[in-house]
Amino acid sequence: MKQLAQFACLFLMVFTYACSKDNVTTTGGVTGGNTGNQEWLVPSNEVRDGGPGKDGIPSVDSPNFSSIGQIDFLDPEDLVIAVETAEGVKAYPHPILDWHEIANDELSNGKNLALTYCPLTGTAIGWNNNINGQKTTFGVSGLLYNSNLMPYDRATNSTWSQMSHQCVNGDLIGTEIEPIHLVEMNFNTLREMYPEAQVMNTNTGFNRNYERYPYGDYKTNNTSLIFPVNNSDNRVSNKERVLGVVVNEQVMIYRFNSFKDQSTNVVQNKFIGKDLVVVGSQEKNFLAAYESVLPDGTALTFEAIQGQLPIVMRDNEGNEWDVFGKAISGARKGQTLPEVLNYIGYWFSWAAFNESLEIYN
Amino acid sequence: MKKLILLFLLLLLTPLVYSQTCCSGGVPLSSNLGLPVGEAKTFQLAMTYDLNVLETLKTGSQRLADDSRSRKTHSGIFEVGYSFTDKFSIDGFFSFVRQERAINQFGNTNFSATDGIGDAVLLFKYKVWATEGNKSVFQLGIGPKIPLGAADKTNEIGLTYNADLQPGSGAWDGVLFTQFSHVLGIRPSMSFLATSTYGIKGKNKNYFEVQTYQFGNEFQLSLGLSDRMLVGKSIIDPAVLIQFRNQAPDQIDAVDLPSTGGNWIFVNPSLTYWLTPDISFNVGISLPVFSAITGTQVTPTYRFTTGVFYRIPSKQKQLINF
Repeated sequence: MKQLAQFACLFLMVFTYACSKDNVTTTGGVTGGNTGNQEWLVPSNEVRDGGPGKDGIPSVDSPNFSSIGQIDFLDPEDLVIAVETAEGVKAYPHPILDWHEIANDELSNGKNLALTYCPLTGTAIGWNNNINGQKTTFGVSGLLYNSNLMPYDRATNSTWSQMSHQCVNGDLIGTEIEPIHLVEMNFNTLREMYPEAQVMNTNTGFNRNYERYPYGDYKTNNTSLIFPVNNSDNRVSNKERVLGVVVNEQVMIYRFNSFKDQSTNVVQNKFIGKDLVVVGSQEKNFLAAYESVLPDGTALTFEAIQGQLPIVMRDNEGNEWDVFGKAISGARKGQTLPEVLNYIGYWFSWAAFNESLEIYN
Repeated sequence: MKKLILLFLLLLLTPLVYSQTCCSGGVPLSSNLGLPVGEAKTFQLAMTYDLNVLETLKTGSQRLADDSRSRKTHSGIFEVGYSFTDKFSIDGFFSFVRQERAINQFGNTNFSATDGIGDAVLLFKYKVWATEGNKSVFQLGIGPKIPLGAADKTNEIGLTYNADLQPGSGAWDGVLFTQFSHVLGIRPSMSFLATSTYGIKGKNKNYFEVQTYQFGNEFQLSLGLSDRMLVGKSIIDPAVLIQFRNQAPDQIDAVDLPSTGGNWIFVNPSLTYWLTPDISFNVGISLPVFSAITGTQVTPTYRFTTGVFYRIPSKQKQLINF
């Protein structure tokens, strides 16, 4: 009996030692927000730990690019996020972003891009990495709100909500993003539009299988929502990709099936006092929105141009515009249409963040 | 011999599906179930420390060169068994669990941990068949896993951890257990052991307060040999088991959760040192030799187990012995 007691004591000592964690150094902040500031702009009880933990999904901070002809890991239908820079178009493939969610990149026009992408909501939003005059980078906090990515900035460890478009916890609470315009399209369309584009390659610094989608049938399974959302709307299937245009925190939704009559289609409408032009193609798998009234007050009307990608529309003055809203020819050559925050996401995610959504018919 | 083959086949035919959380450390309930067959009117106690370390990142069966993520589960397990008769016994299995997650990335370490009482299992075992002197024994067991452990632990600022990091599952499970042991004729000190467990996982209907979470059903089969050796004056039982484990994907609201579930094969060598005929000390390790997982997961790197076992003799036996 004495021997048993000795072994029981030994067992308890081993267990106590093994479970003591005084030797753990935590230098990156706790998973889940900033302990220095308890205030949240979203309901904190609806913020979820996504599972992998802070930086468990690592951002790519030094993306490498290859010319489009050298890219062999993408299928024609794979989606890419394109951004126009002074030196041409750069593209960031979904199959890489599915594994990293954030790419921090320097654009040649002096802007520092945080390309944030949430695989669960299908939303890619670019924003300027210069916050209050300070350059920073963003990482994946491991948290989700409404099943949507919550990046954190490495300057202050503040937590941001991607689809709320602002910092929701930490020193920068309330700071809104400064969007950088992106256009989502498939790889085939990118190749057709911008054969000189530079495409982010798999040399990310991380060992991942980029040819494998990590979320099973999530993209197409309308019943699969891994994390709860606080609002749903059954007018459209959960996983249908739609374009949302955000004006004064209200959202107008455009569906791809409104852009199927011709190869390229243009619609114009007014939403919350803004005149919008939306150009898109179900066939080519892209949608992009701009304001149709120029800063000088000129209201333009547009018609679609077929077969001349990346030129997609012509205005009533005869100017021709590309998919990034830039005049390619005509009197306004070099001008750009006023940007309006817009991006593609799964329908359910727009519904989760917005209790009333207007759908363009 | 025919009976032996029949019983072995029955063991193998235990529903061949499913096992406990794979991307998680997973509280090693199934792996530790099943105290030895006891004599009537005897108590058996076991205290075990189990460390399950997951630091291997894999996609399918391909290992990825990334050691930035670590998941550890420390479990303190207390088992008590009582044999009512030579055939019928009951095991109670209680645990204290510490779950840890560490990510070493970009020069930082992000560490999260929870701890608390884990779930418990009650296993009712029945010796279906045995030869004289228990040289061959086949027993069945069935019981519930009781959700004593918390499944809603939060971090420092009140955010609820996901199911993987909770000490408990928040769900009632069913556990089926079969075990066959046979003393080999060619070497009477050596035994063949086959154990299977099948965990039918229940649902935590209060996951994040609004969702239902269900761990994937789990099947484990262990086959191996143990021997008894006299080293000096000490009795030592070396053993080696080959363990197959299958786990179905976890589900949230009845939809499969990506990157959960898979198949593993482990080799489990162990040593048991008998201090007295009724007290032993054991140490073992479990090493994965094959895994084919669903999606991409941090998967087991090794598991270490050590503990003490104490058989409280029946009064009658005590009178004889002392």
